[in-house]
Amino acid sequence: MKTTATTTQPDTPAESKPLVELRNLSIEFHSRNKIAKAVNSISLEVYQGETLAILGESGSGKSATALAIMGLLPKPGGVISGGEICFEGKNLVKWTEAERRNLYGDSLSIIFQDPLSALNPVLTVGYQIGEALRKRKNLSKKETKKRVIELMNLVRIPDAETRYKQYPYQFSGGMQQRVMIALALALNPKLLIADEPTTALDVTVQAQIMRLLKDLQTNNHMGLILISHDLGVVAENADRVAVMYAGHIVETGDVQTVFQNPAHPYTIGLMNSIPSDAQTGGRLKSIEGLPPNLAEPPSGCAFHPRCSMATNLCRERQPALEEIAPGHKSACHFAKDVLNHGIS
Amino acid sequence: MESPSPLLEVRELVTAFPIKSGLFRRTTSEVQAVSKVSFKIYPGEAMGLVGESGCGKSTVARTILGLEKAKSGSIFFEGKDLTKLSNKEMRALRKDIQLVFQDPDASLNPRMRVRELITETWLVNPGIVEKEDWDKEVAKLMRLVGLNPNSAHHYPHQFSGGQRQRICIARALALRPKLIICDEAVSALDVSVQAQILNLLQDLQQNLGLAYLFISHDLSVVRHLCNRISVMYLGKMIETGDREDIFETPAHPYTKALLSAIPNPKPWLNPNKDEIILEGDIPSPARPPSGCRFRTRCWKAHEICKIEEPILTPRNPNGHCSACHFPMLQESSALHTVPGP
Repeated sequence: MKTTATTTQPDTPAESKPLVELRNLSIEFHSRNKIAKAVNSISLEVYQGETLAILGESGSGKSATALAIMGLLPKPGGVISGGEICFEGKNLVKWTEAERRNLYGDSLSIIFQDPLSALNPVLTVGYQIGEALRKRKNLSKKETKKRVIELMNLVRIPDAETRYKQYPYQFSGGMQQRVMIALALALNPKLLIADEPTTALDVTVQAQIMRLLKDLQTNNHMGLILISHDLGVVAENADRVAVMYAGHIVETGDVQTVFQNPAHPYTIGLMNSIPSDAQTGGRLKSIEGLPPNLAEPPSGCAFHPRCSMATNLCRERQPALEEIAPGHKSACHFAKDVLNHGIS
Repeated sequence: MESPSPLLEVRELVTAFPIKSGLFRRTTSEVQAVSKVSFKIYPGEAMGLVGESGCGKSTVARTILGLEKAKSGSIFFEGKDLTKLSNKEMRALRKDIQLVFQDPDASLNPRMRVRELITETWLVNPGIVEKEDWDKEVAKLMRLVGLNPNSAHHYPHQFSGGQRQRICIARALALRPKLIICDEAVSALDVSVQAQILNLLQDLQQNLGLAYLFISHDLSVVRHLCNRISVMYLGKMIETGDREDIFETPAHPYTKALLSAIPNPKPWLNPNKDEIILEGDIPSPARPPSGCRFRTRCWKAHEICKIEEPILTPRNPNGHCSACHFPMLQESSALHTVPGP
């Protein structure tokens, strides 16, 4: 993939170095007779203490990106086909699994959408939260238990002393997700990736969990990558957002700028697709058509088959992600027009 | 809403599941998944049933369809009580009430082509479409839901998730029903596809005069499609009313909390939104709290909420009712204090 010439100069003050930086990262999934290009040469960076949201629909490559950062791409099949993942300046792509393992827990950590499938059903919750502490910190049994109960209190699991000895099935969905958060935070990671952390939860519980994550992030000064398909969750919780479509970052910038002045037709289409009070009962301006098949991506701009503004240029040449205002980038040939006049 | 007779009327419906325990699996107690729920749907109307998991909203749908047995109460469809019909009578009536589920993969037989999936309904219910018209009718239905009629010989796996949901809708429409129950019908879809399906449902309602019972946990979707909304919590209906009443002046604290919990894609437009974050989880329906079922999570709960169960009480002449001892009425809603996190 040499079609994009994405520039990667940091647009945030130079005094702070990014915690994690992706440079032209490409990910492919190989199956018997085809190759799906899940992620195409994306670049982004996350700084300490900030929340970057990766927003996209299923198949946009947002989870593949998260898994690649963690070194968890499914094997065999998932391959990083190009680019770099730099964590505090070190390129992780070249690291072996054993070398990477030392980063897990205190540098990188992840929480997934479905806590029940991430937890071991036959081990107590307390044991699982304490696992990282025992392995990495060589704490005694007593000290581990004390720390685990502290962690459980931190994530606001009531009655931690009793809950310590219980099994995952005895917890509600929201409480299981709290256990996952406690587990991920056991070693105070510098970067936490939250892959759709609240998608499986009810709205009132979602509000609790997002509040908790936000508080913990502020207190620990963590970098947070929030992966979500929910525009509301992103708007309320992230500082910056990268919108992904078919493996490309199509727009990025700070959340308020991107959501209020979107400069890519796909972002506008997404905003129009969610029912809001302004147009109750009216027709939604949905995006026509379907996301492309990643094994046979369309020529030029991946969004052109669904875009109302597409021209021959869009069919032929892939637009680069270019800055249209300080810190606000869009990958559209007509970004300026879209920004100023919306979509036709 | 002055329509003479409702299409569907549910009165004091109770659906219970037994809890079995002990050596001989004897029934020791029961869970009332739906506890004395009443509502009406008029022809051509869309009613939304909202609530979180375990509130009984899907059980209501299943009971209407006869997939669960009602313990007490009645369900009138065009004046006939469905709970008293024989299986044979019920089967004849069932074609008027169709269902669209959340997961099209689970409801479409992977070994049947689209044409077979749709025509099967006519095979089971003869007399609706003559066999020689099947092909024509299949093509018509597929066009109606926005599918290419040329793909009638394709299998479900050859379609995307949104298209598969369209197949489910086409199949539901095949028997020309009067009421379609959508049980989280758009919840599994991506937003851009969800918007397409919502538009489709809306068009169908207008063009075919369908009534919907639209079950969802997503309030913004319900608000978009439904003119009347009922909110359930732990098997009870706690608030019901017109869309505007529910969204502008919710009278029940739970409704208010639910509305506040919807993530807002433009939070900076109203920075003063009073955020309500409920404490704790939904209690187990097997052991619901005494009195008001919401009291364990309610910031307004008093002694009376523990003792006495509130009943649905009208709050305005348009049929806006709520079941709360301390309803938030229009004049007092501005005064209510926001609880701490």
